Formats: sequence, structure tokens, C-alpha cells
Amino acid sequence: MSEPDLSSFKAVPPQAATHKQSMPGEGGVWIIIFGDMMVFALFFATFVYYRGLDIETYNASQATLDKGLGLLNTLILLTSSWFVVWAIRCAKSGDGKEAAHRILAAAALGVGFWVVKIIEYAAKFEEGYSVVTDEFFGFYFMFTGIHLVHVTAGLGALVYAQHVLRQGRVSGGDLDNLVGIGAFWHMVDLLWIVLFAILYLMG
Amino acid sequence: MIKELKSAESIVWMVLMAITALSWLLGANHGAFISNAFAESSFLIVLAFIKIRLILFYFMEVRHGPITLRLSCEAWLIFSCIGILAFLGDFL
Repeated sequence: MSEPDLSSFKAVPPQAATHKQSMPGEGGVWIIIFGDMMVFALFFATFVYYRGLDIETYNASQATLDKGLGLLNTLILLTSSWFVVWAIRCAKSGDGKEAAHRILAAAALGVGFWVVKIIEYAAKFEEGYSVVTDEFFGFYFMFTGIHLVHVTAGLGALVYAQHVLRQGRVSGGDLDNLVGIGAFWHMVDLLWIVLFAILYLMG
Repeated sequence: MIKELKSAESIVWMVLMAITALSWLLGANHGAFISNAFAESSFLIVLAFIKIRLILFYFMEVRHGPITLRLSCEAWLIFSCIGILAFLGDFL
């Protein structure tokens, strides 16, 4: 029996064959991301609906917020996200050490977000505003508080990613985890973008 | 570093920073650039969702993902943005 002629078959690099179809990171992370995005979409719609029923009170309460701190925190998260993108690029090229440095920079900015938020909360409490002051502040403290919990979880994940990258683990499941952690951190960023628009900026 | 700054993602980051500054300028000076409050708020919301689309597709690599992921993200963007605008304009 003769050997089959395989000369007409061309080897397809596995990465090229799957590149267009592959999920960025672990698929499970996207379930968490979409779940959070759905819940926050309801938060946004609820806030805008109730704001429409008493727009003067909402605008008066909003005027007491420090828009400069809101802007600062938005720029902090955007830059932090950019460092994560950069870290993933380094990891994909096999440079775990450089990737770890960039993840550390992203995490440091995340801590910066935390500090600015605490300064903002402290100022509000000192001025006598709290979660029960009115509907606006109820939403403000609830939504930004839940968001801050996400920032904290993301920070924990970034610290873990940095630990893995420092060991030079930049392939297979470790790389998938890194991309997933990055996607979660970007989601924290994009949810804040809407919160900044509806809580601080809308007039 | 220079090579990194020339990447698509870095340009997206700069665009995101610029849109954020523009949004803040509008929000901190109500009525100075757009006199109608609904038009101004709607513009701010649309700017926010443009930023989110850039983050999803460039930072979160959705543009290289499967069609189901891309469509799910587009659906979330469209429904969330239209939903907020509808409540904002009291159309519902």
C-alpha cells in the first residue's frame, strides 16, 4: 500500500487560523463583564429617569460635586488602561519583566483613583452630605461606591498579574488570564466614563 | 517608547483624553457652548459612548474577537445609549 501524497496540503500556523475568531482572554471573564455592564446600564437608566422627575434638585446637588476631581479620576483610569494595553503587548512579545513594570504603573494609577475618591468622599461628608441627603446623593454614593468595589477587585487582579509576569510566565493560560484581567480593568474604566458623564457633567 | 506612542492604541488613548477634556469643558460651563440643556446633555452622553466603543474595540481587543462578541458589544452600546437618551428627553 502506497503512502498518501500530502504535498498539496499546506501547514496553517495555528495562530493565523484562529486569530480572527479567538476570544480576547478567558471566555468566563466576558460573562462577568457583560453581567456588570447590564447591571450598570440599568443603574444609568434608573438615575436618568428619576433625575427627569426632579431635575432642579438633582442639578442643585450635582453643582456641589468637584468636577475637577471627576476629570482627574477619568484621566487617571484612561491612562491606567493604556498601561495595561502596553503591558499585554509586552507580554505577547515575551517580555514578562517589562509587562510587569507596566502593570505596576497601571496599579499605581488605580491606587491614585482610590485616593482621589476618598478625598472627594471626605470633603462631601465634611460639608454635611451623605447617602440620605437626597435622591441624587443616594445614587451618587451607591453607584460610585459599587464602582469603587470593582476598582478594588481590579487592583487585586493587577497585583496578581504583576506577580505572575515577574516570574516570566507570559504564554498559554497565563497570557489568557492577563488579557482577561486587562479586559476587566478596561470595563472598570468604561463604567466610570458613563458615571462621570451622568453624575458630574450633565446639566 | 516612541514606537509605542505611534501605535493605534496610543492614538486611541490620546483621543480618549481629548474627548474627556472636551466633555469636562462642556459640563463645567453649562450653556456656554450649547444653549439647549437637552442637546448639551445628549451630546455629553454620545461622547461618553464613543469613548466606550473605542475602549471596547481597541483596548479590550473586541475588534479581533468573534462576531458574537462584536455584535453583543454593539448591541449593549446602542441599547444603553438610546435608553439613556430616551429617558433624558422624556420620550418614554
